[in-house]
Amino acid sequence: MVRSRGILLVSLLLLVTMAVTSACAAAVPAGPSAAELERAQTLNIAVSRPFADPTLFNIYAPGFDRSRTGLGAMVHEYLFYLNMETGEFVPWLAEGYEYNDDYTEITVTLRDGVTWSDGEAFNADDIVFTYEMLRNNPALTWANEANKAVATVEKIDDLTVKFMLTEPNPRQHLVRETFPAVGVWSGITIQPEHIWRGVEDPVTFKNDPPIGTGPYRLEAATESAFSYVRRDDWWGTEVFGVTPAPVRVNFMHVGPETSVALALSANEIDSPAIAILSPGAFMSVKERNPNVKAWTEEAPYAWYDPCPRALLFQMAKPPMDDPLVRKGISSLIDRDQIVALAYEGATVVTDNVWPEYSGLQPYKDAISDIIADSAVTFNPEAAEQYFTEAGYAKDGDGFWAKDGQRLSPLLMTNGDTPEAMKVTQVIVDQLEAGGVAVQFQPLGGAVVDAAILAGEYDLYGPQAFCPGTIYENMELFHGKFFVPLGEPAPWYERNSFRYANPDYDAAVDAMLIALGENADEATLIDIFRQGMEVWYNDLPVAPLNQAPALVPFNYTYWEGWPSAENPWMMPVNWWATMNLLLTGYESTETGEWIPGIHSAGQ
Amino acid sequence: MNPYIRYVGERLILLLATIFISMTVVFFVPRMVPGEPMNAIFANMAAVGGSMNAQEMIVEYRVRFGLDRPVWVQYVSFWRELAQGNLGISISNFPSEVSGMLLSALPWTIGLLTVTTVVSWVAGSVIGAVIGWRGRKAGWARLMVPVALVLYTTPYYILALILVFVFAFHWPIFPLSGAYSVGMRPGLNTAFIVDVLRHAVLPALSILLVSLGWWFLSMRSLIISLKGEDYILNAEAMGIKERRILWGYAFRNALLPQTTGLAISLGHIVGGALITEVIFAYPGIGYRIYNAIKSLDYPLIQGGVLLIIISVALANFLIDAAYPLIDPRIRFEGSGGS
Repeated sequence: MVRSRGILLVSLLLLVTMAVTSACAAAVPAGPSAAELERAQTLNIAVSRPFADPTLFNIYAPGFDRSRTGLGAMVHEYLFYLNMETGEFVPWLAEGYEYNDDYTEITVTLRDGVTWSDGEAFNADDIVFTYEMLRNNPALTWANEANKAVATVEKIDDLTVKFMLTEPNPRQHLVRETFPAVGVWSGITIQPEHIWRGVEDPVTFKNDPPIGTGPYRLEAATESAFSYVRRDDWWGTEVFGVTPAPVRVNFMHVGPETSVALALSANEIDSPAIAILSPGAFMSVKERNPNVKAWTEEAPYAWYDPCPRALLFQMAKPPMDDPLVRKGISSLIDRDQIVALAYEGATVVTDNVWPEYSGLQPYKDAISDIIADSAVTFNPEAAEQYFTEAGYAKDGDGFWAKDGQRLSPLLMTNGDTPEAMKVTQVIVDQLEAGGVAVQFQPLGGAVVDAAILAGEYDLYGPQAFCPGTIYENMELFHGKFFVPLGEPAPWYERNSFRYANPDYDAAVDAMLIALGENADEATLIDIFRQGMEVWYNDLPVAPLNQAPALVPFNYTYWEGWPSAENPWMMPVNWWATMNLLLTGYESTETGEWIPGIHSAGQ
Repeated sequence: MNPYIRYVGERLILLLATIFISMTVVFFVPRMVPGEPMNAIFANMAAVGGSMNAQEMIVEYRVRFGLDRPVWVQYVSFWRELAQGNLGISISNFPSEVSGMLLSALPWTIGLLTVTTVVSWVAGSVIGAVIGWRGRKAGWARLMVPVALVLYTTPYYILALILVFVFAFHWPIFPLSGAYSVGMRPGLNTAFIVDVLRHAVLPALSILLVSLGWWFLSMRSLIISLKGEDYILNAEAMGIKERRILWGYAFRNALLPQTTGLAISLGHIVGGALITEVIFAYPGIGYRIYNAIKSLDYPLIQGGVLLIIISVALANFLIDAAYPLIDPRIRFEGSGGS
């Protein structure tokens, strides 16, 4: 018996040692008051993945992580910001812009008093240099787009630059890939000439430390976190008279959904990035921590990302080259069920490819009759008619077939994305129930891009349609992006489905001209309607649902977050516009400064 | 020639051949997978509105990575660069160097996994031997058997999540994730070391508990089967002390397969513990290699697999070299059975 006790002691030795070590270790950290004070001044954003290379800070390097590191929002700034929530185009490093009469030039007036974080003045030379660098280094991100759209950039004086465009474009100021103004992720980012001029190869330059004009500087970067500290010498404090509230901002990887939910419940983080928390996890967090709130108080909780989801039809080959088959497939999809099962109710269905923003509503209202007659809602009887009209009949097993061949489309999806897997599994069940023998093929990694761009699918989805503005989303379906089957298309939603209809293209072209002529909204809506008549008749994609961005905010340490009740800004921490969440901005409508987030209780 | 030296020499040649053949396979297999590796670069760009298919860019990047040359030229160049210690540039994280990406992750993986592997091996083997030897006489210590079975069969991620929930959330004794606190600067000072240790406890405990179960069960089975051997019965009949029979006769014999298992485990360490890295957001090499394979990042795959191959082959070589010292029979067979 003595021995068996000894055995037990040995067996527990490790655990006891570990517990003692842990208890000692746990007792060591700094005093709770100091830690609590520091936490109260810190904004913690949870990101979805660790940072692959925490020594790379070159925003133009292809491998740089633009959406998770926060560099584009904390260290860099842009000439203008687009607040899609309010529709305001906010001057920042610039004070204004002006097109010439034929929209081949934009003259931009820069703001006086802007300085880089190393004290040098920000001026026209930096802009001219950045575009020169893009021209000389076509391997840089966005270089190809910028060089195609912008012929040269000329310095008029220190605070005035003129962009000479390669072709007339009244929308140039909104194209972040070619002009330094952003509404979403980073785009053309002006770099300090005095640093980058001496760089031998900007493509492999690490840009350590990153010099920017933004209100924060990078303090430390590891695989787990990018940490920023507020700059006391930020130019905006003097020019705008504001100081962002958080002293520190951390973009940190705390693990998978479960860990993020626990960290949010325990007030260790203030907001997660998009697509980390599922509605179920969010509800669980909300129960544990009532200070955690999302865009809406009640379901669907999510803010709508500007990229609605749709199912792509490969129109360059049978069977999806037949609009009747496309309409049949679309009519078999029960979108409400997708929302309920795949999104747990955290979004709404859509019958078009534009987001649910109030500014777009007049356009949608104007085509409600076209939509009512179209095949974008669940209607099994209509599906039967479409398939029958297309020459299909049900075989002995209840599947649609034509000339002895079953309708058996290949449905591809991105197997790396949980959202895509959930949505497509619902669609597969629905189509099979409707008599379509779907072949389901999830792909992942580097293989999926090549297959989709080459058009190797019959159906692909769910695909995001960005950026969500009327013209830009119309343009995605333009025949100018058409490439033959087998050749790589420009991008997934940029016509990998190979749609080409001159009547539709004419409407898109007319829209661009009308925008250039500053046509009134009635004219624009009229053109939009012409385009949509063709579009819904052809149905190149099947709209599915709005894109939920379930991004809760923790009100324990920080208040003033945007919400459905106070939608002053997009609730987005993964875009380059995120700095405005912290600093606030001057409303272009009222001229008043709309403040950013502030410490709780102040 | 000394038979032992000859034996080790043969194993050394085998080691080098293994590395050469494996690396050749690793070089060619990813290149046979359909898909354009440069897509990783353009997908990164396209995700932020950049070009996907600007031909001049594809050409420039293919030249930068040497993919415009015939495969055999790439192969020769690969060995030449490797000989100079250059593992190349990651495609999906361009322009990050592969060696830097792997080396920054390696210490965390080795630190965490070496300690947990060795500790669990020692503890599991010793406890397994004692309980296996004592049999029914072990009393309520025999409860270790079902406990070890449960631990061993519990899916690792479930155990890890339970630990996180209990010790990081419900009773917040340990941090939820990471290798050290955000904002803390790495350095050889007490605060940092304590912080690292605190962060390592839960990941280490999760690995330890699961692997300890296996070492315990296998050693226990070995000892039980050895107990009926003639030489053990003989030793008992000779009146040799029980403790000496256990440690000097049974345990030593049971140690051989356990040591092989340890060597293989140590060899696999640099492959990382992917799930640990994911659940605890612990930096390490597993996630790197996983992502490299997903994005067809040839240089990163090659670099990562090279590390694994060398460590597995080296561990096998070392254990091969050590066997004859533990068990003289192997030396004789290895040298021609004289």
